[in-house]
Amino acid sequence: MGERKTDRWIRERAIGAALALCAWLSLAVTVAIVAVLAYETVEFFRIPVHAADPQLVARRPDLQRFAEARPDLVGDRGGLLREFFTETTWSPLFSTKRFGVLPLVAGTILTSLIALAVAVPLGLLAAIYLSEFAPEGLRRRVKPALELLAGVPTVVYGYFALTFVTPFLQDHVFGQALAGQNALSAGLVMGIMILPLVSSLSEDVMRAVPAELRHGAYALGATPMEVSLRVVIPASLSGIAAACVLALSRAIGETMIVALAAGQTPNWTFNPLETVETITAFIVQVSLGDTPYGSVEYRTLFAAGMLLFVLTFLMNLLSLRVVQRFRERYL
Amino acid sequence: MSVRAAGLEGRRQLERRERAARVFLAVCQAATLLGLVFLGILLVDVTRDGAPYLRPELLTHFPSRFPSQAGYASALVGTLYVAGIMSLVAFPLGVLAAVYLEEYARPSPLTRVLEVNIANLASVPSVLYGLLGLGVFVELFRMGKSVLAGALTLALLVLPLAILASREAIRAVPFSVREAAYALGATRWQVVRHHVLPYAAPGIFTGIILSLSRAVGETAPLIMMGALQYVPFLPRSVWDYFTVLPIQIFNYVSLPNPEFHRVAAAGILLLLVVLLFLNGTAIWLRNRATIRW
Repeated sequence: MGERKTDRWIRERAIGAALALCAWLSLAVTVAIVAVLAYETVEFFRIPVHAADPQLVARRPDLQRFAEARPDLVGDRGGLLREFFTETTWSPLFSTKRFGVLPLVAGTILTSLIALAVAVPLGLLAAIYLSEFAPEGLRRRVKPALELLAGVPTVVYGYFALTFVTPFLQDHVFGQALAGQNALSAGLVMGIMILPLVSSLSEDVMRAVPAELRHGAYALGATPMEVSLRVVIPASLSGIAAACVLALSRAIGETMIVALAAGQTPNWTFNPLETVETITAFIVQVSLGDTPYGSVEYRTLFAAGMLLFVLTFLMNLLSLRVVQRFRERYL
Repeated sequence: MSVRAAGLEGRRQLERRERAARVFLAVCQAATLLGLVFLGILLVDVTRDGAPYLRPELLTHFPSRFPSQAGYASALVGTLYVAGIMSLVAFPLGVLAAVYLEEYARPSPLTRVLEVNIANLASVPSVLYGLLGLGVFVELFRMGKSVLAGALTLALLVLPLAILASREAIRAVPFSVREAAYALGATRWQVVRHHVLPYAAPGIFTGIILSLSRAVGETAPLIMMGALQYVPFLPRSVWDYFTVLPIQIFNYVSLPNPEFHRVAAAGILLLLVVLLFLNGTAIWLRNRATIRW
């Protein structure tokens, strides 16, 4: 009332700008993540260069330890980068100081593949049941119950994998061949954790398949199983693939389950019965100790983090691509 | 082959296919059940391990070298403290960002960038938010390993979740409500403030509570915030060291003495009760207060 039109216009503009600022802040978060990881990663690969500077080495005990352990790397510009991607020993926290990240990558891939081997078949079968067979009332109750699995804190799963699943497998299946911390238990439990991701997303796309396609198949005499496997699944393949890639991305980034149940010893192996360390578990391991800002150990944290970021980012991009490429074909 | 034999062969084949279909249905049912059975075993196992330690001292005692003395007092207060500050930062920002994206932003490549970015942020592994917090809040802004640094780190973690949930709630408000208000001469902000937000509020709160419960159960990013240290006191200011419930549980699980695993199990029960309460509230709110258009 009585408010001048220009005042009102200015206030509206100011509010709009403030809201825009809030939205753009989310982009700033991404930029900050990439910037922090990139800066520290570059600094990590420049450690050999810093270690060649006597004044710097005199001031920093961590560089001193590095130079003593790895005289071969001092001053070698690309040496650390080469070692990072090609060598199979990772011991930056020990006096030997080897920087081959492949054991961490192997541990990550191994546990994630075990998780997928559990989550994809179970999740798909559950999705088929919920979308094709279950009565509506049951579906409405079972789906949220399955989604509870994704809401359980991961430290709880870690506890369960370590204190229940591993002893159970030792007593009844593998005996002492199974290490106290191993890739198998961690992967199995992680698979259950990502199961609702596969089942819920897949069920959504399966229900979006037009009923005419099913009716056509039934009219030709197909059984419910044939309709599910040969009509519904092919028609919703893009969504299913995207769900699986997202589930893989979650498994790669999962931290507490593997930190507790898979172990904290880097191991260049693909034997699921052995102790392995994942990229995320290594990050936890370093964070547990006291790492001074800017030290060699501090920077390994970010180099490992960068690798994790790139891996999961590629997965997310891939799932987006899969959906875009195959979507129109059926719907 | 005679006609009769061919018919017989056909019937056999049909029976085989129908049997396969029945088996398939049973397998699907079993797969659906398996997840739920697993959840059941987990709950029974944790309850069996933790029940003997579920005593009042669990809430009032600090961490200790002796399992019988160990409790979660500092962890509970730390969780409350961190979750409170995080909520104050993340949720207003999240709702306002959602309002911008739904009500103000015009479709443009820039808006598209924002949307893809938020979806991507929501799937960045949580442990990387810990590295971000360590690099930016703890070191660059010199907050040290404090309640504030931990709360801000978690705020960044739940921000995309809060934005996504709020957007969905705002989108559910029908367009006719906005048109009616515009027709009466309301400005854009008046439409949002007096019409869209009140109608979207139950949905927004449901989403907020769900992201809050995600933050309360989060462990990995807070390990970088030094939350694993021995904290035998209650944090008094935002600059104090702190620990939270999931981290204290992680701490007890990592100890070799199996008695501590039971203390951890009791802590898990505490954590699950807190989460059950939060999720229950969210579901109640969704069922009671959501407007059906």
